This record gives sequence, structure tokens and C-alpha cells, in this order.
Amino acid sequence: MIYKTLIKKRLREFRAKKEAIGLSVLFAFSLLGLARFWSDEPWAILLGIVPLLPMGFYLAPACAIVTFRYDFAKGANRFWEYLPISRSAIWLVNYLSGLVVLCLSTIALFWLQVLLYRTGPGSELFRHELGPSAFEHLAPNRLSLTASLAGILFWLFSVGVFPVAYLDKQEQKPSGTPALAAVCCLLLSIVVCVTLNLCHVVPAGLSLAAVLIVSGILFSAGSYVLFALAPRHITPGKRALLGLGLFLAISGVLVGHLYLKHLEWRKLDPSEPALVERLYRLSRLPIKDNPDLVLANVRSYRSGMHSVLIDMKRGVHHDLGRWMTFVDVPNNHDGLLYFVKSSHPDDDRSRQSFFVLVGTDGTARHSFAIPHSSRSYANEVRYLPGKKLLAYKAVFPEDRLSRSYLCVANSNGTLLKRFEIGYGDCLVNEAGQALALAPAETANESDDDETESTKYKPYMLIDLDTGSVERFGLPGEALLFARDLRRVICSRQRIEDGRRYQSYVLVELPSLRERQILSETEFPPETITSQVWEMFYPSIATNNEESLKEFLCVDASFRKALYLKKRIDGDYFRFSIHLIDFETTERTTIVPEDALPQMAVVDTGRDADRSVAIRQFTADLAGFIYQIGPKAWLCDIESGESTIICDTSIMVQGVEESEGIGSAPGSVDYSPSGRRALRYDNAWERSTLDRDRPSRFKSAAVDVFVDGKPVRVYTGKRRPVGAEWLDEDRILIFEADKMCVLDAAGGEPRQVFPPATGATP
Amino acid sequence: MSDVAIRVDGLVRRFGLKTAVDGITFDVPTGSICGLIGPNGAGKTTTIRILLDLLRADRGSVHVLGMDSTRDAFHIASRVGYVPERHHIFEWMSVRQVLDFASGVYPRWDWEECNHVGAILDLPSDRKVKDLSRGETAKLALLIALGHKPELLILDEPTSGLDPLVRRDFLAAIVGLLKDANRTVFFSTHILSDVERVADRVVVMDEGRVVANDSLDSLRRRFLKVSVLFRSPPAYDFEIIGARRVDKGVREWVAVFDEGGRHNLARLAADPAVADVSTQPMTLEDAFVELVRKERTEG
Repeated sequence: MIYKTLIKKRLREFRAKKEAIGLSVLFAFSLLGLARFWSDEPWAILLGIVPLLPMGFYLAPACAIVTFRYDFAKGANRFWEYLPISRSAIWLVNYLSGLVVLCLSTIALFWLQVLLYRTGPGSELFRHELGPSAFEHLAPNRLSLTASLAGILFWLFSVGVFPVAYLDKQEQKPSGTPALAAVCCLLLSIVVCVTLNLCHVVPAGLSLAAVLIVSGILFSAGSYVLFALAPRHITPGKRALLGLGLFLAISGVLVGHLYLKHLEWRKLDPSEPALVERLYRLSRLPIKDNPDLVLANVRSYRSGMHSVLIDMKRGVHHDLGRWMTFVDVPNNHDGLLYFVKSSHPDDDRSRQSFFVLVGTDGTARHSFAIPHSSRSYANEVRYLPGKKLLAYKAVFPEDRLSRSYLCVANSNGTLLKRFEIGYGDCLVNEAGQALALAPAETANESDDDETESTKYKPYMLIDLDTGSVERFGLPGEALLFARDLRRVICSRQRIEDGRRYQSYVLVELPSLRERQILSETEFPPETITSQVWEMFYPSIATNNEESLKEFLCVDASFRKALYLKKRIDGDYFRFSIHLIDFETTERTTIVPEDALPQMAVVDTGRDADRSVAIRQFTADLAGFIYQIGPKAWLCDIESGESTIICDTSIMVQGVEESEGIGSAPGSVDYSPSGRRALRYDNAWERSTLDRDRPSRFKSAAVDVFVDGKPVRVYTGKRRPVGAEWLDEDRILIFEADKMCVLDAAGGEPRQVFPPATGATP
Repeated sequence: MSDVAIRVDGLVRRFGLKTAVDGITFDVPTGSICGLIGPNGAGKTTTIRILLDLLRADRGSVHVLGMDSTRDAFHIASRVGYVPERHHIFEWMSVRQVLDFASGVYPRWDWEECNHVGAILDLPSDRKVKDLSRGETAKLALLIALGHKPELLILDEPTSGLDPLVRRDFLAAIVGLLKDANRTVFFSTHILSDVERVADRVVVMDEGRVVANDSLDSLRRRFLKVSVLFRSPPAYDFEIIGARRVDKGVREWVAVFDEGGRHNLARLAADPAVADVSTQPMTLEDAFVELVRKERTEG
């Protein structure tokens, strides 16, 4: 009877307070979401979403405050207190009616957003990613979006109810209640965000909502205790203590719950969409026990980067840990994987890195810490044969900008030796030698503007065992060092009459004996402009293979190189490919000018200039791949014969409006032997407004080239696809949130990550 | 049913250092109309709020309709009609909606009674509460309090600030309750004429203490008011023996005696300077003033 009366009263209030009009306003506002129909520009989507979010945030506490305030505003609480109505009934009816209003308001505001919700690469905002979009992680479907939204709004509502119950007193000043409720909601939202940030996890909306719902129930119960159960006649001081104590206790429970859940969230969930960012094939590393083992860096939206060991054969994976950098150790015979781990790449609060050893079975783990100090930071840590740690450490003294040190420590992290080095990377060879830029000797030297300096940087070769340091200068800008640090290719610059002349020399270390491999006559002199100047004096510390690749391809053993010669003949560029023997500096023509196309000088922009390029040696060094426009050729060094290995000019069948992969090396991958090629292509629908901008994913295809002809091995209709060779016979297919293995001859792809069964050991 | 509708025993309530109610004890018999009177700050409202458990006493016990006011507050509320000094009825409701709401809240709501009293009070049923005048709001509060035929009606300064016409209606409605002998009315006011008009008992409070708890007639009989007419203006220091208080005019003085001071009248009449001695009716106001003065003097 009493509930019927109270509900009847609420219904009258609903009409009296014109909440229906409020709902209509929300409904009208929700129609902004239609903006995405008349334009697919990102701002149009933002227009629909951004104003809704703060409104949604405000909505829940507002509903909580308003519903309770109807009963208590303008001294009406005094009316209630002498009526024969239990406070439990008042609380319950207000609470439930608030929830109903919240539900109606939420539906009015978000119905269109939910109906139109779609995730994945269909969204233009995230189309550049092959992996799962943030939305896809936060709310993979409409149901989870609705549930997440409901959970979060319920939580905000409950937090909003709490101060209302807290302030329910005769002396209550209703004008202060909304402010307090808003502060509570804001404060707790910040607490939740900070906690998640400290834990470095971004839970899915549904997971977070589950925690928030528990917290919301506790806050609701707290408000009930304050309103209905707490003695009515306690003093304001005791009431404040009770309210504050309850608030802090429930907030503490919320933080604790989040912390406990984060232990679960930080692990890689088999069902979680995760993007494979980088692969290390163990068959190509010193550990060659199991060619089916692949080490991958996997990015999970929830918990960041994970190192995962995937067993292709068994279809299982081991999560080795978060935020770990894999260290490829030369001559590793102990069957361990080496990682350096920091708590988070953007987080230097932990002041230490961890060196982690993991067995290839994913179980054997040892780690030790490398401490940082408040004024120093280990930028990078590597592992040396002989179980020594090598850290590049930057120190920030007060008098200068920074000093960098190369630190050698034992496996316990104890410092053995320390060398001051110049700014930049460091190379280490198997013999325990490290090569680095020498530190600036004077403050003025370090402050020199590099673009104005023509002096080549001094280097230092450090023997990490004996501690001996040899400082030397190179006759040019070091571009590519051999792995054993015994050779280096340098570019030498000479400026005369405003023109730049360049040549390339091979320098033996440490004797500094020079051999010219490309003389100044090979390159036409260029007029110096400020832009060119900067380009040719980059702050290259060590290996910069990319700058060489345009015309020089060096083999891994540093014994020979392929040289793409470009010569101006009248109005045309003429190309030829030569093999240079580093021992004798002899040059042999492999592909003569006649076999390669010529190109009009006026037509050759920067891109066209690169349309003839040497890609790579084959694994056996007996051949190499070069590319002319969209066609790749495999050339036998001995005979000089070339055959087409890949032709990307052929439109992939079934893929309309291709992204234009003709000269995009990223869409072509060569097998480990270097003798087979595949390509993948993704098609996008064009934007209705801007024809130059792809908008929505349409289809994808992967082709393997057999005798230069593409053979379709995989077609994707759902998500964009990437592909690369696993070995000579197998291909890895990356389709947004999963990785599959496919036989190069075709057949059904087999999902290896996440495991198709969802089972991990 | 108990003979005592309200029993207050040793009630103490302090607000900080100030003692609002200082160990008061009194009973209100069932079926009586009892006025609670006292000067401002006497502790009347505090006492009433404690009766309804709207305020908790520091010490002492209160029983209303035989129930402990703290333990059985909910049951007391359903059997008691209460009209507070200031009304906070939902402003957005119409009179009819308020009564409809109240009918659902009180388990023993009687629409017949409500309509009967409503006819006496003459309330516009379709008007919103926020549009009612102060008097009409007070009438509505009374109607809510009476609509469920309460065994006890408690009113806190119900006619304060109302014009004489509304007060008349108000009191008429209360008198209408007298038809039912078992109902009790307990109301606080400082308009003593109202009390005189309807009450048969009075509890007088001053500075947190009960000064008197008696029937109206007994209270009046406690003092004797005499008019003394002199033959010629007496000397200012002329003494009327036994008088508690003397209001001195030119030839006519008014003296107030305690109830036991009646025997002094004969001696006064025999005095050659006195032309005539006549008794005057003792009003409640006179009695109240004397009581308070006596309490303060003796206290």
C-alpha cells in the first residue's frame, strides 16, 4: 500500500517536474549521431559522440540527485519525518525511481549510438591499423557496449546517491548537494583512472563495468545505511564521520578490487584481440632447437605489449611478460631467451630495469634488477656473451645537459666497468668489443650545430674485458659497420665551389686502412642547398643501412656488395647492377644497362628514381632480387640471368580499387631463401566526400608468386590482412586480431594466435 | 485504552550549554484538550518534537498513547495527527493530491472524516499547495492530521500568524473532535485566548520547566484578583497586606492574591480609606503571568 502510494507520487512528480520534456530533449540530442550518415568525416562522428559523453557522465549523478531532491527540497524532509513511512521505503522508492529515470534518459540519449555502433577497421578513424581498434577492445559489440554503458552509469548514479543520503538532514541545503555529488563522482573517476594508469591496464568496458557495478552496489548500500539504518538523531559530527568513513572504505574496496582485477587483466587473455607487432623466428636466431617456435611482440589494448612464445605446431603460446625487449644474443648456447624489461616504457618511476632469462619452454625464468638513480637512467640494456650485462646509461649532471656512459655489470647488476661515451647507440661484437661515438671533449664541441659542422665524428672502440679504449677518427661519415666491427662503410663528402662531391670507402678497423669502393665520378656533383646539407650530414651514430640501400646492398658477412649504378646519358638515366668484391675492390657487371630500362631525367622524381632498386641477396648469396617498378626480378650472380619473381602491377583479382601496392615494399615479402615472393593487398571503399581517402574496408587477398604469376592462397572479407613468410613452405597471415599459418601451396589457414581453442598451458 | 494519552517523566534535553527542557514531568489525560503554554524559549516545541521522536531526549522517558516514543515512533506516527508550526507539504501537489497521498500513507485514513473537516475548513481542492495562503496551508496541515481520525492530535503553535477568521475555523475543527470523547488534543500556543476557548487542561512551561499542569478552572482559581476603590487617592506606600502584586491607579488599585489570601479581604474592606472591595474574573493570561512571575521569583 505504502509503496503504491509512493510510486504514484513519483509518477505525479514525473509529470509535474517535466522530466518527460527533459527526456525529449535528450532524445533530440541523440539524433546528432545521425551526423555520421551525411558525412563520414571524423569530426562528424566526434560531433555525435563527444557531447554525449559528458552529458552521459552528468546524467547519472543528476538523476540520483534530482530524484532524492524532489522529496527533500524546500524543507519537504520535515514533512516526511512525521509521516508513518519507514525511511527504507522512502530510500527504496527514490532509488528505484532514480534508476528508472536513468534508464529512460540513457535510452533517450544513447539509443542511436548503440544502434549505429560498429567496430573494427570499418571505422575510418582506425582504418590505418590492421589490428583491433580501441573501440573493438572496449566494446566489441552492441551488447557489451550497452552493458558497459549501463554499468558505468549505474556506478555514477550510486556515487551520486551517496552524498544525497549523507546530507539528508533537517539542515540540509539542497543547493550544495549537486556540487558534492559532482565532486564525489569526479574524484572517484579520477581515482579509477589513476589506478588503471598506475597498473598500466585498459580493461574492456564490460570488465570495468563489472568492478564498477560491485562498487556501485556498495555505494548504494552505504547510502541506504546512512539514510535508513543510521540513527536519525546522531550529531552532525558523528554523521560526517560515518559518511566519510563509509565513503573512504568503499573507495578503498574499489581501488583494491581494481588492483586485484588488474593482476588478471595484465595477463594476455586467449580470447582477447591482440595485434602481433613483431615476430622473431627462432629458426633464424642462434636457438634453432624448434623451428616451430616463434617469438612475438603482441600488443594488447588491455595490458600493452607482451612478449609471447608461440608454438606453431602445438597451437599454444606462453605469455613471457609485459614490456620486455628481446635481446638477440650472438652464439647463445644455453637455450634461453634474453629480455630486458622495464615496468613500462613511459614510466621511469620504478627506477630500475629487469634483465630476464626465459627458457624456450616459457617456464624457466630468472631476473635481476638494474637500478637507476634519480639522475641517471639506463636507456638500453644488452647481454654479452660471458654473462655480462651492458647498459647504456645517461646521467644528467647539473652543469651540462647529459653524459652517457657504457656500463658493464655482472649478472647481479654489480658495476664492473664504466666508460663515458658520446650520445647515441652502441655496437657490440662477439669478441666483447663495443663501438660507440667518443664523448665530446669540450662543452663547445658538444654544443656545435651539427648541420654546420663538417668534421666527422670521432669513435671509440672499447675492449669490455680489458677496459682498453681506442679512440679514432674515420675518414668519412660512418654508414654501415660490419657485425664483427672490423669494417665500416663511410661516405666521404667534399665541397668545392658550392657543389658537393661524395665517395664511399671501406675502412678496416682498427688499422683504418681505406679502400675506395665508389669514387666521386660515380655520383654527379650536386648543388648544395640547406636542405641537402642537412640530409647529408645527419646525426648518424652507427649503422644506417637505409641511406645505403638506394644504391648499395651489402651482404651480412661484409665481403661483397651489389651496386646500382645510375648514369646520365643525354636526357636519360641509365641503370646497371654491379658486384663489388670488398677484398679486391673489383667490380663485376651483373646486369648491364641494356637489360634495365632507361628513364627520362625530366620524368624522374624522387619516387621514380627509386623505382629501380636492389632489394636483397638470396640466403645463399648466389643471387639477389632487384625491382623495376612493380616487377621484382631474381638474378643469378654467376650467370647473370634474371627471372621475374613477383609482378605487383597485376591487379589482385577480387580486390577493387587497390591501395596501389606497385612500389610499396611493405606489401611484398620474400621467403627466407630469397627466392619466393608473396604479396598482400587490401581494398577500401572510397570516402563519399574525399575520393582520395579510403574509408571502409572491403576485401583482402594474399598471393604467392609461382613463376612470376600470382596464385591466390587467401582471401579476407572481414578484416585487413597482412602476410609474411614463416619459412620456405609456410606463410603467416595476420588478420587484425589473429595470426594464422598457411601452406604456401594453399589450403585452409590454421590459427596459431590467439589459440583457436583458447587454451594456454 | 490507557487513561493517559501523554506521559512525560523527567525529560531533559540540552542544546550545547543551553538546557531547553529541564527535567519536566507531566501527564495529559486521554480525551482532554490540553494546551501547552509558555513564553518564547520555554521549551514547548522541543517537548513536542521529543513526543514524536523528531528529537531525542538526553534523559527521561516519554510515552504517547501508552507507547515509548523512541521505540514505537513509527506506530505513534500512524495514530497521532501532527500539525507543525511551519508546514513543508509538497508544494508541487494540489490539495486533492496531497490528501490522496496522505490517505495512502495513513492506514486508518477516513475520507468521510476528511470531507467533513474539509467542509468546515473550506479548502480549494484543486489549487496547488504553493498557491495556498498561509492560513490555507495551515488548514491543509490540520486536515491531513485529522483525516485519519487520530487518537491524539498534537499541534505546535497551530494558529500562530493566522488571522482571527482562520483561527476561528481552525478551532472549530478542533472542537469538532470533541464529539469523540476518546480523542486527545495537545497543542502549544502563546495565544492564550485560544487555549481558553477550547482547552480544559493547561501545562505551563517556563525556562524548560513545568510551572503548572492543571485544569483551566483550577489554574484560574489559584489566584484572586481584587479591585480596591479608595475614598481618596491613597498614599503611594499604602500597603495591601497579603497581595502578591498590586497595580496602582489613582483611586482604584487592582491586587492579586494567592488562593490562600482570601482571608485578607475582610481586613482590607474594613480599612477606613477603602470605599469598596470587589473580586474580578481571573483570566488565563492573568494566571499565566502570575505563575511565571511566581516561578521566576521563587526559582
